[in-house]
Amino acid sequence: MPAFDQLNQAAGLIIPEIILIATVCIMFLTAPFLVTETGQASPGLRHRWGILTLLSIGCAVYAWIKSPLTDGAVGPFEIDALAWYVRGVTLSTGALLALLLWDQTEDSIAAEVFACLLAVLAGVNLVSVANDLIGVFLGLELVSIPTYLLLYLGRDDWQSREVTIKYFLLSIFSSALVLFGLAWVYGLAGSTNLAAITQTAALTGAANGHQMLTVALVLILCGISFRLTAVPFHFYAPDVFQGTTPSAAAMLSFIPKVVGVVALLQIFPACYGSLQPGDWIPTSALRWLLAVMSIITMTVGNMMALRQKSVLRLLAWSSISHGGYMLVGLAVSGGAAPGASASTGLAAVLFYLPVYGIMSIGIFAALSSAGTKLRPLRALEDLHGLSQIRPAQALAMTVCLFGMGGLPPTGGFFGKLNLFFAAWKENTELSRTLAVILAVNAVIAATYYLRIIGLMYFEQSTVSTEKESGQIAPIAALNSESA
Amino acid sequence: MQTLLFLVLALPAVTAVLLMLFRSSLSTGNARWTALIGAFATFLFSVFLLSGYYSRTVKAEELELEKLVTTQSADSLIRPRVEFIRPWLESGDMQLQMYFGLDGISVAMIALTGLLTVSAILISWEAIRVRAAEFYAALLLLETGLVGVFCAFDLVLFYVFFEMTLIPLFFLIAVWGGQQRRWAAVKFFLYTLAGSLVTLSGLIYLMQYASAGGLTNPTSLPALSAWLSQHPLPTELQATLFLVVSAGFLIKVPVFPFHTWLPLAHVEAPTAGSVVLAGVLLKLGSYGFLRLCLPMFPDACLQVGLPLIGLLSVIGVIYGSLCALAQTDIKKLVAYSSVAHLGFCMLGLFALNQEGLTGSVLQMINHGLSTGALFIIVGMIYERYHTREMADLSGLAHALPRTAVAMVFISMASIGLPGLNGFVGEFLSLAGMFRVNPLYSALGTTGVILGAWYLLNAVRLVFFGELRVPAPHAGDPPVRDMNGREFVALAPLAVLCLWIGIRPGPLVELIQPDLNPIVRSISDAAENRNDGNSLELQADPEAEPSVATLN
Repeated sequence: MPAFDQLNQAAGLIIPEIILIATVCIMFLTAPFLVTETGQASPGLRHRWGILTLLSIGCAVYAWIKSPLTDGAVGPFEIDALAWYVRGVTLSTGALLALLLWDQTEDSIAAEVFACLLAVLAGVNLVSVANDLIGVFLGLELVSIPTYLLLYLGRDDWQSREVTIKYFLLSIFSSALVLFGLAWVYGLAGSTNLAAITQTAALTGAANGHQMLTVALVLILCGISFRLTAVPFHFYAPDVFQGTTPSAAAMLSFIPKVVGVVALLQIFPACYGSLQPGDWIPTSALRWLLAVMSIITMTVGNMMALRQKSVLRLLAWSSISHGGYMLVGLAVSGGAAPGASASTGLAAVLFYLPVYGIMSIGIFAALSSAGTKLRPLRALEDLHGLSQIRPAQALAMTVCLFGMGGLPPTGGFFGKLNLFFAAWKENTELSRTLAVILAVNAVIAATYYLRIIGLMYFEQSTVSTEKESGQIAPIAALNSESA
Repeated sequence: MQTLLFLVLALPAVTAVLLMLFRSSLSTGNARWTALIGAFATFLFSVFLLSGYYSRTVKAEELELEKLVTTQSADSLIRPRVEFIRPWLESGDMQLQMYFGLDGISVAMIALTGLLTVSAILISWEAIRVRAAEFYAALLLLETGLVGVFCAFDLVLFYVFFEMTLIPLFFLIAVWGGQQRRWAAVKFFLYTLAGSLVTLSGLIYLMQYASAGGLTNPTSLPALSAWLSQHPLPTELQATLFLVVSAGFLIKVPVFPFHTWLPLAHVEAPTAGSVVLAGVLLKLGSYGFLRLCLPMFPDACLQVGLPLIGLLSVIGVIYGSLCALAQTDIKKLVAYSSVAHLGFCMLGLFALNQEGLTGSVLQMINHGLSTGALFIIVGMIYERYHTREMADLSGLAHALPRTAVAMVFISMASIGLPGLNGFVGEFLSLAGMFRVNPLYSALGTTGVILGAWYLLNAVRLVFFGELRVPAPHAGDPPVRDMNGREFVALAPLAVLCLWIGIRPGPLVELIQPDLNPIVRSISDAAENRNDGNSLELQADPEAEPSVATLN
């Protein structure tokens, strides 16, 4: 039974994802029986679901560590170094997100919330291990669809409904763009298997500017830019971040970026005939496109963040600008300088991703644990004097904000340093311009991060400092000092 | 020695972390005692470090004893005598090292940092009542950052510490400062951050250039300088990189048109912040020039640095002095005098010869001592009368005789009276500059006269004449003269001012060996340049003149 063997073998490569999806199924199937018809659940139910979630992530981590590298496989899945790394990043940040969601959800919907999170994690991992265009697309959808639910589940008001619809429509649109682009790639290569596409591209030299390929890649890039919140595909971000809960915003600020970068790294190198993302040298047109997008994204993100009055909107714009920083790394990923390894830019992006994730999740965690259900932190004025009311949260947030600003000795500094280094190393006019603009943007960004810190430490609190029974999320673990 | 160095680096940070951890349970009194003990132990260790270093290098060289072994090749211009190297971070082609080291200049600056931090804590004893634990934690964290800069011999490590100093000082100014503290802190932070990022881009370009040229560990400062002395950069590139790398240091020093953040930051900072800011933090700029720009870009220093930065320093000396003369706020006066004094320091540095460099390093230390002490005295006056306006104060010598003595003494040191420390540094700096550019030197000398004018004027207005002080606020304790604690904070600074003035020898011996290679390389570069100019008439101008044939 070769077919069965093949299936068995393929399934062996995605054990962590299977574990996650199995848990999702269990949660979705059993949860309705634990809630009464009026939607009430026994208090404390969320703890059980949370523990189950962590357990499942733990098993997935175990399976991930045990999984072998299968470089150059031609089957539906391939675990290359990139996939291995991305799995680790998603699973560990996934555990953080689970801890963050823990006390932010009600008992009655806890199962659904945690299940959505696990499905999202499985989706990211699937994108990274997929060796097939269809697999990549399925993974992308597996990230998007639970995200709609997560956005809606957290809050029950008209704002939440509005942003969910907004995100839903735009996300569908972007998925359609990606799918359309993938169809063009299929039309060119005659196969959906990434290994086969690589081979065809390498044989025919399709990389050298086939018009159809250009159209396909531009379509895919547009679709994926939506996930990366690259300008001009960013419009949804501020509204959505403002309209949802901080914990959902934390997920939204990080996971789509990972999945976007990974999808790009899966599809683009194959279309240029490189087996590994590290061998991939983008054409100069593509590099220009990425560079221009990154410049616009960084600058617009930071400029708009300067004038925001709401914390969540500000963080949304900051998240957009960080998408721009990541694009810098992609734009300089091709080594033009002799003797330089081609992947420096990619390495910088891949380092930047988890660092950014930790910092960003840390900030949202601090925000959500410092606010309460009755008085969530929304406007910048709500942060006044936070250091006196909630010193631990303010301190954690300060560390993360310094990290976001790229100041030593936080991990954010090394993230930016790597990007900066990669851009200089490329040593072309374009890359040097990018490096300079990156530096200018770092200063602009420091202004508004400092402003937040200033509000927390130097302003007097506007509310009475009565002790509210706030929940302390495990933000101590989110310290961004990774170096 | 390595252990001692590590202690000096880690002890303030550990104390700071302890203070932060237990800040809610510590009373103000306990917090300041903890901070004082931590800072004093750090200072003690730094003195041990200094004396150990002195006996093992300077004395050993005199007696022709076995020298300390280092991993550095002999042609490196930067040779730390004590080293601690561990791999730190490897990502892509970038290999960073935990490379701590010590040479004469850094050991002297570390000891100065230790001393000034102790004084800063003593002087904040009564003044800081709000969130004391956090205040001292920030101060100690700042100390770690400063010590780190002075002993880092890896470029990225250097930059990390360089930037790290911004964070605690930002908080020191913005939380415990004066009226406009927030604006001052933000301006200080953004201004210096912007400059440092420009510096960083230059440094990364340099590292990238060296690693493309075959250097395996381009972040190591000694290795990089050795490589650069064997493979000199093309002149134009050198000039560009010199200016780019200088940007952050020019702002930090600050040299004339980039100084606007300084008076604001000084006036708004609490006394301890001012002491450390003037005493050590500004020296990060001139130290950066000395450590990075001079060894790496000798040609550019001659062609661009000497005329351009020399000119800016002269302007800074005169402009700073005139501004100081116009001030009515005594703290602002001292702040502007810093601009002028750092101008002397930069003048000496860019004389690029033995006298100039020695004078410059001495000026760095002297300015730290005397201006630190001046800020302490100004802080003491402010604590007693809640004003710094010279118009409101007069004849304080009647009320505070001991303080008046200290003020007169420190003013003399700051003015540069022969026999006190200011004289040695300023004289050597100006003498060095005179050899290369008499005009700059002559113009700079007017700064000494102006310095005497504004400081003596301030002393006359505030301390002599009829006793006139603002009416005391209700509930203020009666005004007392300098107490024991303030005496302990000031006395070591005053003693050192006198001692360096009378016997600068040991200090010069300490720093000289590390300056010599730099001076030599620059004079080589100068000869090469003259030689190159004359060769240009006959031969291919592209030909690289070789060093060996000239000797």
